[in-house]
Amino acid sequence: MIQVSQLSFAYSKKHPVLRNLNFIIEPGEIINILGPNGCGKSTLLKAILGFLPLKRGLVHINGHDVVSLRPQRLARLLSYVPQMHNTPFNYQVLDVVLMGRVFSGPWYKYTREDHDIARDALHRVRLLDLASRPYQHLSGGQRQLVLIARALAQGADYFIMDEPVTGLDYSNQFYLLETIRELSAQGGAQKTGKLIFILTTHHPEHALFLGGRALLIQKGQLLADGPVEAVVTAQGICDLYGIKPQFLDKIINSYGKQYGMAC
Amino acid sequence: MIRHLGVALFAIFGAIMVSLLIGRYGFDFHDLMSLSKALLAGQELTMKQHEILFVLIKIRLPRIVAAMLVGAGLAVSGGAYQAMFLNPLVSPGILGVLSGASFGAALGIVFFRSMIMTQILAFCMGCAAVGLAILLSTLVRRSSLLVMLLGGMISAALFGSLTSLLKFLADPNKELPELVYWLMGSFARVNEETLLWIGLPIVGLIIYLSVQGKVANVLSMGDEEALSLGVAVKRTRLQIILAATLLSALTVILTGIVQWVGLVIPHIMRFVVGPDNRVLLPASAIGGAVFMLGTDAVVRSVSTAELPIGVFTSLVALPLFILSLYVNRRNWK
Repeated sequence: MIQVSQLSFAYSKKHPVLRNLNFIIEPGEIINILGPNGCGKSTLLKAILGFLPLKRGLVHINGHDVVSLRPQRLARLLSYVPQMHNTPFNYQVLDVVLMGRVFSGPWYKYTREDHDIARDALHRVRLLDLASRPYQHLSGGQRQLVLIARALAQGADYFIMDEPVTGLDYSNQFYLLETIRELSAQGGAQKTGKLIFILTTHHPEHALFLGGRALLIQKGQLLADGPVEAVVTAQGICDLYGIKPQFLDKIINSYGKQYGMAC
Repeated sequence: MIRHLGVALFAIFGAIMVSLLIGRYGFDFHDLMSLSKALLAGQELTMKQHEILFVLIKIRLPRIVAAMLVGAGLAVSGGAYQAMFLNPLVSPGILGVLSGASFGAALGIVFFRSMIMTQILAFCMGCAAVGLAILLSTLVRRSSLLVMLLGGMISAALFGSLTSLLKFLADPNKELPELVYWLMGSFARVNEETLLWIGLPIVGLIIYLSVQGKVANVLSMGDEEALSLGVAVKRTRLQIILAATLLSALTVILTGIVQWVGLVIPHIMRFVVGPDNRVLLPASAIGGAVFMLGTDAVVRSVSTAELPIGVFTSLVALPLFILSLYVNRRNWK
C-alpha cells in the first residue's frame, strides 16, 4: 500500500508544485495520473520514488517512509520505468535488464539466479530473442519493453512509469498498454502479489483503455480521484484541461467518423 | 570470458617479452633462455649473463613495471570516469587532476628544486584541483554531473594558467627545460624505491576500479535511474570518481603527465570487448598496460636518447583512436 498524506512540494519557495495531496494506493490497482503540462504529475512520481527531499507531507510504502528508506530496500518495493531514452553506452539488452538485479547478490557480479530472472523478465515482454542485441539498435517500443522487463526483474510490486508511451507510434502505444494490462493481471515476477502500475499519461483514451483508477491533477492539487469510467468523462476532461465541451465534441466526432468508416 | 582472459594474458606476456629484449644493451631471446636455464639449474653465471641479469632487474624490469602500472592505471581510471560522467569523451583529466599535478610539479621544480618535493606536490595539487572542482559543484543546489564538469573546467583553467605563470617565472636555462620535460612525461625517473611505495596503492586502485563494472553500468544510466535500481548514487559515484582521481594522480608521480591514454584506450577496448563495464574496465586496464609497454618499446627503439613518453602516447594512440572511431562508426548515432 502506498499512502500519500498532506504532500506538498516546491522546487523554489515561490512556486509550489504539489499542494496538499492525499490518497492511498491499494494492491492490484492501475493508477492513471492525468493533468495538463506542469501540473506536477512527474514531480508526484518523483516524490513517490523518493527522489525528492520532502519537507512537508509523507509518502509511505508498505508502512516505510520513502525518504528515509535505503535505496536497496526501496528498489525491492518500487521500480521505475523512465521515459524512452538514449544511453551513452550501447549495452546489450540482457545487460540492461540485469541492472534490475544490481542490489542483489555479491557487489561485483550477477549470479546465475539473476541471469535466470532477467531472462524470464525478457520472456514475459516477449523480447527474449533480442537478449544479446545492442539496446540502442532496438525500436522505441522495444526499448520501452526492455525497461519494463528490467523493472520486472527488480521484483518490486509497484511500477512507476512516466509517460510510458511518449515517442511510440500508434500501434506500439497500444501494444505497450496491452502489455501493462496483461502484466497487471498476471502478477509479480515471483507471482506472489499483484503488480501495481502507477503511470502518467496525456491521453484520456489510454486511461480508458487501461481501466482501473484515475487521478486528475490540476495545479498540484487533486481535482478528481476515482474509477476511470467515473472520472475520465467528457466533463472531467474539459474541467481538467480547461477546454470547451464543443471542442471536445469535435475531437470525439472526428475520431468516431474515422472509426465508423473503417469498421 | 575464459577466451578473453587467455588473449589478455598472451598480450601482456608478449609485450613484456618484447620490452625485455628491446634497449641499448643488446641481447636476444636465446641469451634470455640460456640465462633462465642457468638460473633454474643453479649453474654459475658467465660474465655476460651477470650483465644481462643486472640490466634486466635494475633497468628494464622497473621500467616495464612502471609502464604497465601507468598504462593500466590511466586507462582504467579513464574508463571509470567515462561511465561516471555518462560520457565516452571524458578523460581522467576532466576534473583537473592533470592540470593540478602540472602546477604542483612546476612549484616543486621552480621553488624547491627537489625531485621528491616535485612528486609530492604534483600528487597533492592534482588531488587539490579535483577537490576544488567538486567543491565548486556543491555551490549549486541540486547540482548535476554537468555542474561538476564545469567545476573541473574552471579548476583545470585556473591551474593551467598558474602553471604558465610559473613557466614564465622559471629560469629559462635550468628550471624551464626541466619543467617542460617533466610535463611531457618520461620513464627515465622511475626507480625501484618509488615503484615500491607507489606501486602497491596503484595496483590496489586498479583492482578496485576493475571490479566496479556492475555498479558502473548502473551509474552510467544517470542518477535517478540508478537510484531507483537500488544504488546509493551520490556516495558510490563519488567513491569511484575519487578512486580514479587518486589513481591518475599516483601515475603522475611515476611518469609525469601522460595524455590520451585515459581517453583512447577505453574507447578502443569498447570496440574490442563491448561497452559492458564489467568486461570493459578490466580490459581497459590490460589494454592500457599493453599499449604503454608497446609505446615504450617504440620510444626506446627509435632513438638511443631518452625521448619523452608523453609525446609518443599521443602519436601512437591517435591513429588507433581514429581507426577505432572509423570501425565503430555505425554505433555513433
